Amino acid sequence: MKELDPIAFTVELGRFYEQSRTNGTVSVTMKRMTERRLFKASRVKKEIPKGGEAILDKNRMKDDDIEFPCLVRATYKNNKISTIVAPNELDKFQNAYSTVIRAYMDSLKKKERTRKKAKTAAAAVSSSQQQKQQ
Amino acid sequence: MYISNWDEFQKAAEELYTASPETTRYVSGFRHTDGELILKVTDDRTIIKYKTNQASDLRKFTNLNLSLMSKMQNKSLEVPEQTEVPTSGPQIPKVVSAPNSAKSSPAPQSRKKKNNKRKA
Repeated sequence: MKELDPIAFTVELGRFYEQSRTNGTVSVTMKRMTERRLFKASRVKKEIPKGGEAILDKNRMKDDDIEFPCLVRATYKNNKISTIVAPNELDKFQNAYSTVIRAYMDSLKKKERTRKKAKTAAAAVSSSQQQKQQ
Repeated sequence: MYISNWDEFQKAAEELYTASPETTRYVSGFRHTDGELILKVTDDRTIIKYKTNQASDLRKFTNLNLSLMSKMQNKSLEVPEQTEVPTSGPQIPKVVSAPNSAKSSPAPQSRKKKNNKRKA
């Protein structure tokens, strides 16, 4: 299991999707880093993951608006990667992740009718091409 | 186990997460060869799954990712679309470029006029 930082994770995930064009499934799992998981992770890695210090501090645990890091894992065949997204990195990670999704998940079926909302430029181009053909 | 309606799936996923945030995980799998996206939300007691091969569900998938990740981090999900928030990255260049374009497009004489006004 390779531990990467969030942006490197999305790059590697993009590579997984690229490689999976011929065969196989890319699986992405997300869960919250609770106090217990953070504690175990810090034991393994010999350091507290980013964003985790606030959780492990017991005084803060009683606040309602405490923010947790998020663990994200991805697998493709035998390759496994993971990352921990700190609360302040959420936007950057979300942007990179949704870019990867839009770029690589293109084998999904598109409706033949012209649709007002096109998620990606490729979808818009393909629907306009279908219009021209018709 | 498999839900056929996206809105129902989203609602059930968010409810399941709110009910047990510590043990719920969200799994997504994508097969390029079959063109299928499979989503699963489970807290090891109940499972809800959704399967699709429609490109129209991609945007909903991204939104659900955003929503669930924010819940996981216990973060408020407010994405300001206007340029009121100074901290967002992509919006700052828009603000900066506007005065620059205003300065560069008119003739240089106007710059001197502006400078005179400033000095005055």
